[in-house]
Amino acid sequence: MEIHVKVNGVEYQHEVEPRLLLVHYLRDVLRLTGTHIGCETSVCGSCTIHVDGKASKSCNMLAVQVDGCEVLTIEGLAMKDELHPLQEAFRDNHGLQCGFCTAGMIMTAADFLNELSDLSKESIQDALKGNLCRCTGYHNIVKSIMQAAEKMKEVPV
Amino acid sequence: MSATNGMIGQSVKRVEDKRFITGKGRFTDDIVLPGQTYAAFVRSPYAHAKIIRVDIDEAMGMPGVVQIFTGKDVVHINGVPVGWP
Repeated sequence: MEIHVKVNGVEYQHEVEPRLLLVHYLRDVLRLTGTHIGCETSVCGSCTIHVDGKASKSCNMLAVQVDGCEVLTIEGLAMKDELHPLQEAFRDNHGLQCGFCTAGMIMTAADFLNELSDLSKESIQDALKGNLCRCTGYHNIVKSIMQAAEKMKEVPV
Repeated sequence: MSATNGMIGQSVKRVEDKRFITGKGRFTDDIVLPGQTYAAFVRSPYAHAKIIRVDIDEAMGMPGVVQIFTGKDVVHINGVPVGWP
């Protein structure tokens, strides 16, 4: 099937098999390997990207489902050379160790920071329940997101 | 103080973080090399059983299969660390 999709601001047109998973399209066809495959069952969240602005788990979508959509991956999050406040905050707060879950954590947070009215530690922990980290624990990840939220209050992204 | 650039007691940013937070890390599954092959592991479907023999003939004849290794191929390797003796 033919799909037209905009990924990180670039228009693509590809002939894909109907069964091709979106995450495989991103990683294997577009070679955007910043989006990871952890569990392939929507549990771990490491494949999280944005589809039309909403955080979505790309291992549980087909490539044909994003026909006509705008997709944003971790590679497209930073504006030009400037890091997104979340990326900056993860670095500042040691919010990552091995880095495997990081793209998903950041993409999930980049969506819910726009929607959550209550940015308490508890509500951030709750919003992160679909993302697993196996190295650092979640303390520094939550800390990073809280710092980014503060910064984005001053300068909205 | 000068020898350590004043880093003692300071929080230091990791040099590898930039690539991870921008999606430019390179994990094993991200690597594509010319002629690269892939491994698939076949595990026992039984929790407690005795292996009488492993028949690889049919699998070996499938398209794209380069090689199959079974326990016989690694029997000469001693001391593979496992949790059980």
